[in-house]
Amino acid sequence: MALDTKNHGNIKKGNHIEEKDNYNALCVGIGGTGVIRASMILGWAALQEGFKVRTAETHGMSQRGGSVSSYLRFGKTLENPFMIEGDLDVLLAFEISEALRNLNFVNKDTLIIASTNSVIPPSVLTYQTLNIDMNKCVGCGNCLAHCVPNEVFLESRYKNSYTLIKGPTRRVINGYTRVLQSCTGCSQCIIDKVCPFDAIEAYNEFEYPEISAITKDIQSVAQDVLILDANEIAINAGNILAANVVLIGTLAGMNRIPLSENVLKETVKQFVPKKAIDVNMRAFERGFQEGVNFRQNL
Amino acid sequence: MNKPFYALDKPKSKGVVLGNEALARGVFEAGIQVAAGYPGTPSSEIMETLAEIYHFYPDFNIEWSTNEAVGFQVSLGASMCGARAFACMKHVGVNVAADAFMTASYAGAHGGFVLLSADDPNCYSSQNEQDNRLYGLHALCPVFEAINVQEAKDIIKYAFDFSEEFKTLVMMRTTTRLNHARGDLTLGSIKKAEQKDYNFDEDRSRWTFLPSNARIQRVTQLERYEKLREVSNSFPYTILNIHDGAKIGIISSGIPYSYVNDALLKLDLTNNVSTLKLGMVFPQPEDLMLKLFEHSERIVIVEELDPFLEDFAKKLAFEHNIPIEIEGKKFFPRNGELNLSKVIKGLTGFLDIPNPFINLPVDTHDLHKASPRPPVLCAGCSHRHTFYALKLIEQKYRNASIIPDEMVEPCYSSDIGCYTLGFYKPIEAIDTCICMGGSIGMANGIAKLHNGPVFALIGDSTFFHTGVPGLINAVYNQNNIIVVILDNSATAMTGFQPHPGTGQKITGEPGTKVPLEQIVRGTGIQEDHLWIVDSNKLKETTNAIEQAINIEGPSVIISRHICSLLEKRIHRDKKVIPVEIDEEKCSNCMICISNFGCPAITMKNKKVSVLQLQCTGCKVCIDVCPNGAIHLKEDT
Ligand SMILES: Cc1ncc(C[n+]2csc(CCOP(=O)(O)OP(=O)(O)O)c2C)c(N)n1
Ligand code: SF4
Ligand code: SF4
Repeated sequence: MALDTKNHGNIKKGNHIEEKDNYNALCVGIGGTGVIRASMILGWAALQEGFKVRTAETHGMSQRGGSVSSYLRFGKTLENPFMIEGDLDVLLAFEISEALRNLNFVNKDTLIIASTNSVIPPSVLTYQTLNIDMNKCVGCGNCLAHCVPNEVFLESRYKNSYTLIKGPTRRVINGYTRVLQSCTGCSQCIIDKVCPFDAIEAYNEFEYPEISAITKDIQSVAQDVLILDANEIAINAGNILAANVVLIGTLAGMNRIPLSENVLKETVKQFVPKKAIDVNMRAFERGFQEGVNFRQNL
Repeated sequence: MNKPFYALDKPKSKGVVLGNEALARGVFEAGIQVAAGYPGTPSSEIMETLAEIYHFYPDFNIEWSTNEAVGFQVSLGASMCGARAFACMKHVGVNVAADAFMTASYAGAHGGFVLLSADDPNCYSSQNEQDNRLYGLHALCPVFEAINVQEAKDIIKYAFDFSEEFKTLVMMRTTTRLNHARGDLTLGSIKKAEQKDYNFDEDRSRWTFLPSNARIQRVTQLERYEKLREVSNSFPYTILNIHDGAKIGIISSGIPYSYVNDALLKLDLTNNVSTLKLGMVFPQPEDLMLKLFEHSERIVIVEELDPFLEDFAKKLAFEHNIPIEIEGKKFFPRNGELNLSKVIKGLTGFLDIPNPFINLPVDTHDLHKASPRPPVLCAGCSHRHTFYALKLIEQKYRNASIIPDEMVEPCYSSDIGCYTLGFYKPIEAIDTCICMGGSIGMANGIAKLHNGPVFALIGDSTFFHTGVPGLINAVYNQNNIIVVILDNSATAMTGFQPHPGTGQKITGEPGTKVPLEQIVRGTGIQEDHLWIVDSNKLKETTNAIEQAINIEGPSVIISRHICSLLEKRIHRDKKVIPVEIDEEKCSNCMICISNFGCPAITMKNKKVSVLQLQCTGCKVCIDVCPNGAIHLKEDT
């Protein structure tokens, strides 16, 4: 049995391109932020380099803020666009939590380049609510008096505004305070420390981890991880929309897959509007430099 | 406009294109004269690419039809005139066209006729994952499949020749993984349609399915089928690869075959198994299959969804008394999409060898989990505002009822479109979604039994598609429903395609606008049972809903406001004035987030704040805030 990854043992870190039949890359991020375009640029560049090219996307209803993954494979013998889990050469993440989501495609030798850009999904907020610890609650009702939404709900009945009045957000039932469905999860009661017994805690069905925690997780699984603020670099280069080109530049600077700097640059030029070429070339250069620096520090 | 790669008249040039672009290119290379269809993921870009090509070569006809049945019939009519015709739809669209399809396939094609069915294993953007290869069997219509972008172009082009040669309809069946994959494509030459008069084929009895004619056509169909069974063995894109000494035979087709190819490479087994790759999956090539049986000891069939090839292979072996082991669904799931990992798992299972890649991925067990990112209605989406108005009235009645928890809840019978996302928190005002147009039909039935108010929520494009008969039914039978037409001037979900109500054609040329309200009035609905409101004016909408609840008999509310994303696209340069939060007044109650849910409003440093780049300035949240804390940025 031969693996594509057969020369694992003696792979040179960073500074040389491993000879293989096929290469696997994955671009991930949020819909509408240029993830698919980045993968198209890599695909066209691979075609210029004489490879067979296959890409596939999973994006569900991406225009509406969903996750987007674009799988890219190029090489000599492959036929399908999906790599098997763990068989990735490069992971490019345009949003940091999307890198975390896709770590199942990574092995310890995968090169990971991720932008610190973070976009919290709205569902994290809309699914937020509270928990009241029944062992601590004595039913004093302090929180009822302080509950902000409760107040505005009640008030709004008499006001001519269009607030969705969902009834009280808490009630005392059987001597215990219960959080009802209509709690908005605003957590003001916790912030204001209204419960003398510390019985209230925030409950998030979905949590967006801290960026530092995500970074740590990513760094813990692979050797070559570069995390950079591509948005910041793009803004300095002239336009935040060039953030995806920053990462392509970084990838070129790393020199890990057989897509040359020049071919990538020329392909980028074909994919951006004429008047944006300068900005994008600056973005590419700065990304490239980041990649080179990283490689030299290995 | 620069000519895109797929419109170039430069045979042999190479590029990377989307499967749908390649399919459109193939249809164009075949020299079609009429293309018709209805949008539906993952098929929509085929027609859109053809429309783009049309700008450079405007010598064919292309249209978005009202629905798939009409689209199919339009193309059928063109085929009857001897022209090459193409009908394009997603898998469930074929159900809508099936009445015409089942009978037309008796008569077959006059001019080459190809029906494209884009299936969606794993329901990425569909209500089901039906396997439309079965339609081939049902209609005795040949079904073709491609393994990659290049083959997609080549096979669909060839399908037109095939259709004419054998006077048959052809179904080109694709799946999301082909439609939405990219790959390298070498262009072929463009065939120009023959310059002659294409008038209606005078063979009247062939096209008139009176019982006496139908019986004759049925015989023609069966004879044609016998011929197709034979031809399947020499189909140019069907390849039998026998390896001497190989004991294992694999049968596969389409995208699953591409996984088989790569799995064999990965497992280093390419030279140890024989393969039969089908380009024509119905009728199946019996001789080739028998030959594979003869050279193998065990057979495994790798296919997505139903055991379509597997059942056939087993039947064939049985009929020929061949005692060979044939496996398939025992090792590959019947639901969802296959991928390389699943195929390797299935094959190693079948071969009873260890899967060498099982431990390849890093262990993510102890790491944080990324929060899911379900799709949400866009910032400023007019649907959210209609939903919010519905919820306001619902809550008003709940608060007013003597025992609040005993109010009979309203039922929101609903349909397919962006608005179906109203199923999720915080809106939760979608109770059903079965098929296009189903909302009104089902509401008719629910209203006969349910005690609370019964709404039918339906988008404008869907209303034109199949909603109208349901409304006519409600008026005719006096069923007590409230139809809310969410008119955002687009088929938004599938990519903002125009439809009859927009009056724009697929080519961008003007058509005639079919006024929605005229259709509604034409059903005979009473004038005082019809409201036309601006979705972004909560007061207007809530008033209409409240009045509608309180009258007997069917009523219609047209809630109208252009899709916010489409508006942004049309008026790119229009200056948007976003809203912002007055921190003094904001109590951080999060009502605007938790109950209203515009994604432009978020929490930043534990305070409610507005994402200035996302806000469309629709101003609706201003009315939602009980504290008057939201205002337009200029106000300050
Ligand atoms: C029979 C069938 N055809 C096509 C589709 C694909 N499809 C899903 S939603 C939709 C249209 C939605 O348009 P509209 O009703 O105007 O709602 P909007 O998305 O604009 O809110 C279509 C065509 C489908 N699901 N079923
Ligand atoms: S695309 Fe338009 S209709 Fe669909 S969610 Fe966005 S704003 Fe609403
Ligand atoms: S005005 Fe309010 S509701 Fe409208 S898009 Fe902006 S934040 Fe969302």
